[in-house]
Amino acid sequence: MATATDGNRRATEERPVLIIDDDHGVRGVLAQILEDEGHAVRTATNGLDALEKLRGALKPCVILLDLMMPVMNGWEFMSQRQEEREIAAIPVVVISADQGARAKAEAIGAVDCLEKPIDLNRLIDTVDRYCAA
Amino acid sequence: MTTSVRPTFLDAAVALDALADAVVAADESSTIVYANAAAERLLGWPAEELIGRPVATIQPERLRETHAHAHRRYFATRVPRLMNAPVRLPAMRRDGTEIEIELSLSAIDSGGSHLVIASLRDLSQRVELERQLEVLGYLRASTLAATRLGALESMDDVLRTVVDTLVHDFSAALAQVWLHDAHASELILRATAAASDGAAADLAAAGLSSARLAEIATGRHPVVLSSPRWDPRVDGSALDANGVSAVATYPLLFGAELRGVIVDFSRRPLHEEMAEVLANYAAVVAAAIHDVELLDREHTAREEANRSLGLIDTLFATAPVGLAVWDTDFRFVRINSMLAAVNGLPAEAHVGRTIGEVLPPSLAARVGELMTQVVRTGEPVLEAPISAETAGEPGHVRDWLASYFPVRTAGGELVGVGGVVTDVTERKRTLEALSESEERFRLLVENVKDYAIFIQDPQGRVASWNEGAERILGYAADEVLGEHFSRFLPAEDVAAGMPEDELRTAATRGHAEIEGWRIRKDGSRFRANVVVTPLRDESGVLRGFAKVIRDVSEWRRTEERLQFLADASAILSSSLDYEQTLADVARLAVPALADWCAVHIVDANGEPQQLALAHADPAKIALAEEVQRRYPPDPEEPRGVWNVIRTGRPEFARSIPDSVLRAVARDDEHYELLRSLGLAAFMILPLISRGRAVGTITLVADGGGRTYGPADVTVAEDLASRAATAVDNALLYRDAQEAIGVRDEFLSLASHELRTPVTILHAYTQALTRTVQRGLVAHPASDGDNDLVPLDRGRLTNSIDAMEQAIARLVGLVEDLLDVSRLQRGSLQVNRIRTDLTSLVTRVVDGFRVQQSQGRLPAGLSIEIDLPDARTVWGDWDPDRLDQVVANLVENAIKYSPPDGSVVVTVAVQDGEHGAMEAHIAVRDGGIGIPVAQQDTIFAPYSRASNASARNYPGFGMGLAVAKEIIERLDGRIWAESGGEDQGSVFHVVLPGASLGDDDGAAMGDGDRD
Repeated sequence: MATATDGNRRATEERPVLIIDDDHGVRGVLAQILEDEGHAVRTATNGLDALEKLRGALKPCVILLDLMMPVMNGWEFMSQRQEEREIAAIPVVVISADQGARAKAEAIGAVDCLEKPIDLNRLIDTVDRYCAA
Repeated sequence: MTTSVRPTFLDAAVALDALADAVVAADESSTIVYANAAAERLLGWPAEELIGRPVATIQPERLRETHAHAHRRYFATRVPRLMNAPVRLPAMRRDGTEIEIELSLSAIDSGGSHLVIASLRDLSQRVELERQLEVLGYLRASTLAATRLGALESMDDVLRTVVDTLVHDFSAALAQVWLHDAHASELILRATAAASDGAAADLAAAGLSSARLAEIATGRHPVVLSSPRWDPRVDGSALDANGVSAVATYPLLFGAELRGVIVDFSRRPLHEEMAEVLANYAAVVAAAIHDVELLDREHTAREEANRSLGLIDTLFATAPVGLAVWDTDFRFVRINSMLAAVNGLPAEAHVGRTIGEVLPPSLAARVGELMTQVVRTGEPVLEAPISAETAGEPGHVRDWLASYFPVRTAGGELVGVGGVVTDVTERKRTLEALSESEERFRLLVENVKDYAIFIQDPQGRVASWNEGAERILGYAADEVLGEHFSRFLPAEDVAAGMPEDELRTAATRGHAEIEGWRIRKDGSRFRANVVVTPLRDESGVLRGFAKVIRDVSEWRRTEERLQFLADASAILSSSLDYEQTLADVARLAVPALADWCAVHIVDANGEPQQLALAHADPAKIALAEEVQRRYPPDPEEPRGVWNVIRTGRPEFARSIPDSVLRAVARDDEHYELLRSLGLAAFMILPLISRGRAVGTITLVADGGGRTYGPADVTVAEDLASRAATAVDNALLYRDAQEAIGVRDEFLSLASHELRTPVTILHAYTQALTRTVQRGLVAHPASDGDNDLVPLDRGRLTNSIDAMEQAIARLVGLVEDLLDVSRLQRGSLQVNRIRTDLTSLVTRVVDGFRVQQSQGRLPAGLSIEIDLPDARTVWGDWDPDRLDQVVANLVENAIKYSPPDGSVVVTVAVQDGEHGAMEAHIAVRDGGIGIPVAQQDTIFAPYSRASNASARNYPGFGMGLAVAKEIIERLDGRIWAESGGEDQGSVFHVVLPGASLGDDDGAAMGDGDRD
């Protein structure tokens, strides 16, 4: 899948971050910001897409997860993730426009939650917390 | 002359012999020691024979005891008692006869012995003389007395005269007349006279009781006690005190009949002759008594006769009936004033005139006919009714009952005719009126059908029976007359003593009103109001009871129904949870309205679902459920719940004949099961909510006497209407709640959708700010060894492009929201402009391909377009709106397709109605598909909000609703097809008024633009 983040200028592939969101615009802006912070950013359009990528070589230090997505939504992804130990070990931060997303996030085993619209500093701090250099 | 014992006394004896009076001497041992010559003559004893004998020899037997007693006392006490005071007493001669003597006693001592010398003077001559004088006096007195009696007319006078005569003329100290009473069983003292006041009492106490007298009198001979003083049976002192010398009783004999006794306590000695005189007098008295009695009887008879005659006169005058006597010529002999008044003439004016002269002709003819019959037959005519006008009261017809009878002499000769005439005019009228009113009352009572009215005797046995009783209780009169009313009561009430209580209460309080169960002949029960009234005669004796029984079952049931409706309404309005309230109402309907109650509600698929089933017996419910499970209702059945819901019309059955069960049953077992449910009658009522049957209430009677009449139908319809309203309210509420939920969900979705581009814009703004800041930090003026990122024009351009796209999305979303608002207000407008559909569709699809090329859509997705050969399809449509519709359909197709799926958009032209052409757009995808049930509803507003699986896809979910609105405004049609989930979908749009063309045809369309 071609995304705006594919043209990653940073040489470093350290501290990779996986963004799972069905919205092209959201994926684009998050990727740009995190790449600017020096992360290797990978994206997936839904949970199933993400699982396939995670079963491959991708080992992100944190996953940013949208909840409402077609094909496999965030809840289903969290549920599937539990089945696979290596994937389950990766911390997940929920990014949602829903009110009360924090409670939902805790309920499904996410480590943190970011509410849309996203505060840039919080986003960077949160990712940094799990992807310390 | 012998001189044997006492020479001294004997010396003087010669002298004693010479005495004219008899001298007897007795010694201490009461032995005669001397008797002189005179004594020999007087006593008939030779002196030598008498000497040596006891004194008793010359004493009468009855005096011997008294003498011996006095003699002993004298020699013991030497107190002389009779000495020197001469007494008269009888002595006894040798031949046994008595001789009246005057006795003088003296005592002498002679040579040591003590002698009593008795001198006995012969009184015979003197006594005889005296007696004759007295007898003469008695005779004269008795003759006078008898004469006197003859003049007396009353019994009292006779008796008083008798006793007075005895006292005054016959020297009685006390005289009494005792007569037998009417029954002759005992003597009663009828008259008393006494010489002195004390005599009566003294002598009455002397010992002669009526019983003793009766005893004496039964001898029917005079009894004379000449010396009662010596009689031990009487108190001598009482006799002495009153100077009584003799007591005599004389029977009062009339013929052989003993009428009574005269008792005479005489102050004189009664000689035989005197007694005889008095006995004769007694006979005269008896005759006088008899005469007086006869006289008395005659008087009484005469008085009675006089009184009778007077009574007859009075009777005649005052009788409240007409009385008359006619001679054989029918002339009035006598008539009383009553009958005379009827004839309008004084009574005297009738006498001597014939009935023809006195009575009006018709009346005379009728009376004459009856009297002639009496004379001819000699038999009375009794109570013959006569109606006629009278002279006394012309113009008024009066009614009489007349009896005529023959009047005969003692010899049997017919001398006339008597008549008794009673005026019964008033009585007849009263009787007629009474019988009329009785008849009316009887008819009333007999024909009253709503009340059982009957009479019971005091013990409670039925004595009368009306039609209402027969109708209400089921018995014919001949089945219950004489039966006790307790048979109408339930056995438990009889056992509890209620029949007795009922009668006791009615008898003591004068009234009893009871409400309770009564049993009909067929054993069924009904609720009865019973009023019992005791019937008493004029003297207050209980004669029975009048009883009125009313069947109040229907009334009670109406009350129950109204109560039921009130309760049902309360329950129905208590909650909007109609499933619960209807179940509650079903339970309430049993047993108020039914033995069974079922409630069905139409579900989302339009099928009735049983919401509640109630019956008093849980076993029955289980049975019914089994029947329903094994034989589910057939929707095609032309009756029952399905049919009622289909037609919206109620079904009633007053009875369920076996044939119907047979017809309904699908097999024998089904039939047996249905039969075991005991269905007798039913009502199925639709619950109509805004013209649509939303359910049913089924009420079933299972045969315990319950039937369904008009009142039940009314109540059931009322119930159904209230239930329907409750269901309606609940459904409206539910709809409102759902609408609120949908709106909230839509707002949530809208906010979510809006937030996404806002998030993008927000993030890019912050990122740009940061970039600019870093750019400033990276200014050449600053320290250059920092990790500066050079400003990347490409990245900046990308960011700005992304922000523009986000803004475009926001604008699009706002447009969509406006459309939603227009849709809801119905103000969505279309602008008809000459439009080429092929170029429009091509433009939309191209737009998606551009997005795909920009990476905003999956690269693997295939978006195809299939256009007709004629390159253009024209119509007066709204190109902007059609663009929106097609874009929406394609966007949906892409959204619900897998990343490597394919979307094909086809445009075609086909024949439409009236020979016109239609444009056809189809958007086909191989995506998740649409469940069959939702293929209609997806076009409803907010449908996505209520569709869980679609919620994971972005969008308001209003696109199809808006599309539908637009297409319909363009007079077109839009619909979806899908084989189901994961079977892909095809959305069709048909637009009328299409034409094919190669040129742009704009000239034609311009004029149509609005």
